[in-house]
Amino acid sequence: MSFRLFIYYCAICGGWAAFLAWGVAQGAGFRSIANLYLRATLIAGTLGLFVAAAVGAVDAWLNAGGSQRYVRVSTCLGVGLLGGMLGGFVGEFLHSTLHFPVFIGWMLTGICVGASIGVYDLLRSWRTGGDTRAPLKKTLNGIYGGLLGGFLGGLPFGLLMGSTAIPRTDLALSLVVLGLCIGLLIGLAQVVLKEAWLRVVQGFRPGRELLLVKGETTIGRAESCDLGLFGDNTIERLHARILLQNRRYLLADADTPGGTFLNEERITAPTPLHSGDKIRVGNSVIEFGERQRWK
Amino acid sequence: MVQTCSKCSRANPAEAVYCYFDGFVLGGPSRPGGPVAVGAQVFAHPFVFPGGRQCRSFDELAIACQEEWAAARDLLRQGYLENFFGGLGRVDLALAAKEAAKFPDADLGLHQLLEKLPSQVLAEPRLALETQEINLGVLEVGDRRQFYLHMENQGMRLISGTVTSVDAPWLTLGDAAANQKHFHFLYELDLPIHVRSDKLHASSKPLEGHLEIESNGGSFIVTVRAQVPVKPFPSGVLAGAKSPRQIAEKAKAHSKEAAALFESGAVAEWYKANGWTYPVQGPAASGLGAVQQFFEALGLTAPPKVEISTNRIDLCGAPGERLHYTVVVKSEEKRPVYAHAVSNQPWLEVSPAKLAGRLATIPLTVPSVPNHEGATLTAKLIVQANGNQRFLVPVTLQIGGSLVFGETAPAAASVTAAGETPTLSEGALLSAPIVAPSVIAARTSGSSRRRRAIKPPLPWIHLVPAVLLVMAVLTAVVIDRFLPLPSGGTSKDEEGPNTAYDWTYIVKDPEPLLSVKFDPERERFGVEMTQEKDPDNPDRFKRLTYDNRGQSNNTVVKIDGYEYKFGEKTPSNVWGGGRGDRGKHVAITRGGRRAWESTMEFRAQKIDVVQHVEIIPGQTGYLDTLLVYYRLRNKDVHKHKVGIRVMIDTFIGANDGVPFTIPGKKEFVDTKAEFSGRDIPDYIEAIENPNDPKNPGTVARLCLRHFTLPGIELEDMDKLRICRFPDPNAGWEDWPMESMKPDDKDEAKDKGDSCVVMYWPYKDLLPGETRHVAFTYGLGSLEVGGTLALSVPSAVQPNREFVVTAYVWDANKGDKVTLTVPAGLQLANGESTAKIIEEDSPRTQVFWRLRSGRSGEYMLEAATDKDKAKPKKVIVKPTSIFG
Repeated sequence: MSFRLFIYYCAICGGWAAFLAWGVAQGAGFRSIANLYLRATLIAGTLGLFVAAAVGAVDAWLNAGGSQRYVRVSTCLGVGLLGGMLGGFVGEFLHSTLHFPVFIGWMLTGICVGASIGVYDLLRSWRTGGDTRAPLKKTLNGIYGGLLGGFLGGLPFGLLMGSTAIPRTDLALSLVVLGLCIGLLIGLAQVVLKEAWLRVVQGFRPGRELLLVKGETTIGRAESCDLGLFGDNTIERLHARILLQNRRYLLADADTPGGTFLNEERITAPTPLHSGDKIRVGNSVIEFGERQRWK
Repeated sequence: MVQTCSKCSRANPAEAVYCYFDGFVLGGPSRPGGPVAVGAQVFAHPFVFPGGRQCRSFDELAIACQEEWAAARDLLRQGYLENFFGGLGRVDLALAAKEAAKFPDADLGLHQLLEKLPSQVLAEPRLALETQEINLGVLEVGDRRQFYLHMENQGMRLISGTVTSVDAPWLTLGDAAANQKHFHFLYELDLPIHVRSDKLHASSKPLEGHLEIESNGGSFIVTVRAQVPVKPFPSGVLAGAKSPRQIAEKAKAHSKEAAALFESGAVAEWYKANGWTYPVQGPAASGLGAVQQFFEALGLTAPPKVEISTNRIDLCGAPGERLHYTVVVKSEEKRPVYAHAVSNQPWLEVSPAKLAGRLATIPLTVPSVPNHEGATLTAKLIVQANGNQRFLVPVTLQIGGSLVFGETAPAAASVTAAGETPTLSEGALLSAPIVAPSVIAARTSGSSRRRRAIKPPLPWIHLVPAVLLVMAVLTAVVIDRFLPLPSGGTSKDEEGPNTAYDWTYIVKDPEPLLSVKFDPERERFGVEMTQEKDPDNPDRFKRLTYDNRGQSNNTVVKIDGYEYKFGEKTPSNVWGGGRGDRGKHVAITRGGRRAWESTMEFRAQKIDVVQHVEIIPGQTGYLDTLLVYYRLRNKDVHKHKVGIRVMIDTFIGANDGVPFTIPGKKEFVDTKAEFSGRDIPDYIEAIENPNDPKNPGTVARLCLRHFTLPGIELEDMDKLRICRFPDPNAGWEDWPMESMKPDDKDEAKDKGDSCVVMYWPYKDLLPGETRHVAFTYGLGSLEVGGTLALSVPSAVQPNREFVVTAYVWDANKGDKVTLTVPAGLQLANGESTAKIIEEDSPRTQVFWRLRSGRSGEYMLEAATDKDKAKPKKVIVKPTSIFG
């Protein structure tokens, strides 16, 4: 999946997820609950659950393979649910008691949904003792996107809600706009603020792009690899690693007989990568990209 | 008459004896006689061959040419025969000789000339074959064999013709290995025939082919036979198989073991050894896929439908550059995919496909972009996949300065079955694209030239979820828009014209005795008298509420457990009523009315609350009463629990702690009291100077129950509190109810401070339902006769109980107060007209419970032993407070 499609699908899946969340809230009668806090908590929790799962699924599709995707989506699901409930409760409190604008609560929900897509990487880095900078950056990017998405989507929320012309679907419209905005901005933030990435130039699914958001990114033929290059028998199951060390990305070969080539030169030790470098594993060619840093 | 030669059919003059053209005797009727033997006629001078042979006639010349063929052929070429015939005067033969000399093949030239000589001595050529059936015996695929076809000329002159191998591609003719051979010979010829080893194929039946010979000496067909026995499969589980069918049967029975034979190419070799074409084209798949591949190629199993990643490839590169591209063939079915491709141009190289389950990847390479700057080269890539499904992919290579690898949107490529001509079409011949690589570029030179990537447009397939989302939301909205709301409760009413706008009433004086001022932010209201001055401040009017703008009053709306103060805006509680902020304060002035409406929307719950404040005529017919009416409407589709309470910070003149008289109660309420349900009186009164019967001052009356508004059914309140004014921010009821009297021990309560708090039920408000609640607050009249005064309700509904109160000052124990009840009214059960004062008191009250009868006006009178109260009128009417 290219980054452009990633952003697009984040938005669309966010919108769909919000629509489904409305369906659940409507079907379960959340809107009939007299207690405002409980009502807001449940509705926002449902929205957080669905939108986080949807955006997390798109993210997992881009950045993971195999069963890891399910774990990622499950993590997003949990974080989104809790974050949505928290955002709903706090937002309702601020709105009802301190008369804060309604979008404050949705910004909180957006923050939690945005953070959810980086939580898995963050937890994994902590567990493995790896560099947490990249996953932290991904989480922060998600938070920025969710914050802005919650703000933009929350702005028309107050206007759309309470419409007597559409007494039942005012919430649907409001949530869909909110879900679209949260999804769009999370996807956009991930891409615009990305630090480093890979692009498959030649090989399995050429044109595919992958954000480097972990301390160690694996390349190989196995499904568990972050960048799976299936169908190329000249590639080992685990062929190469991209390591983040001291704020630099290094390319390392995984002791393969065929070797890993950086700009057509075989590497024997972890070698620093520069933007535009071509990595060849087997018959596949991958381009490394890195954001220019201000000096 | 023209004569026609019977030999050559040419026309001759009538007088001619011999044909001018061939010398044949013209058998005209005037020339009877036998033929003239032209060939035997002697030449004027003989023709002498280089070897000394003399020819004196055409017959001798013909014989000499046949026998000395080579010499005659040379003489013809050198023009001697042409000259000789010219010398004889036979220009026709001279021209024929000249033409024959130019013939490409000299032998055939001479042969033609001999045909034209006027001689009969040379017989026609006649072909004879040694045999017309040739059996080559047993052959093996790969054998090289040659044999000769012996032909003889049993006539004269030259035999010429062709031999064709008609239906035997395994036979070739001559040393050129062609399937057709021209020949000519004079006497005999051995034509070599070759057996093509690569065209031999094993079969249980003998091979048979035919050679067709056509010549000027006759035509023949020669049959050639050979035996090519089938070699059985040599080893493994397929050993002994003699046909592809047997191979398939054995492979099906032992698929795993057979897979290795297919994968290793042993089966392909066996096919080759038998001269058969191996049905699987391209590289063999691995594992069981190889068996499947074989079965699909034989047509024993339907191949999976495969898709290709692109329908055309557009490449661009600079001269000398190396370009890479990858074509992917994929199937949605869970079966192995195998494919291979060929290019028809040398600049486009195709590498063997990499097979991986459902994917087959075919790498393409342009090793070096040709040096044709500005040119666009085209090639065709034929991709063949499972079951010989074929794709024709046009490839263009634009040779330019910048390097771009692009790909058009993979939308349509043709799929053709094996043997059919691949075509391209614009339609959706190909199913959904497999991959949509935006840009595939590879630069091996490490050049720093700028690279431009052309991103493909967003394929339409990606728009589907967006379109579906829009459709889903729109459908829900449309359904919501036109689906009626669920029905409400029993008192549900439709949102119609506001009936309060249409109220009319008659007043004795249009100048009101009260004025209302609003808090500009919250629409709270305060009441002042217009005819009396504030005792403490002559510049101001006398107040009936603590604040002349009512800022200490408040109204609380309780919705679903949450309390909101009416008039306090929040993001979700806004002024509305369809007017936005204009709904905050709408004045109704039609007919001289003094009414103001404020609408607040509680948007979270979709509850509208309308506050209607109006100065209306009271008991006296003057504009001395304030009607406060609230309308609560649920616009949601869900029910909500809604209640309302109104707190009035009562105040008269300079007295903030005015006591209240309660009909039916003996004592004034000057501390605190709470009533609920049926105990709530119809009205209460506050008297400015309760202890001075000569000057009681202003009497303020709050009508609480049992009055009606036109077209509106008012709901009874369910609780009434009379107590000390609590905190201005007091909520629904979570505040202490304290005595209104001054408390010397508490500085904050050193003055009296009273208030009245009215509660209407906190209960379910169904979707679409509207509730109406109201009370009035205005001036009452207390006409004291000596030490006695009567107080009655403003109006009474027919056939209802009501209370008449008599205020008694300087009362002594045992005093009797007697009420005169007019006809039309009657005492309630258990009541008596006379009431006894129970104890001495500077001020007390007695009351009677009466029951109204028919509509009408009735005068009530009361008297004690000392005084007589001024008569008081009671109006019994079924209509509203307006008349």
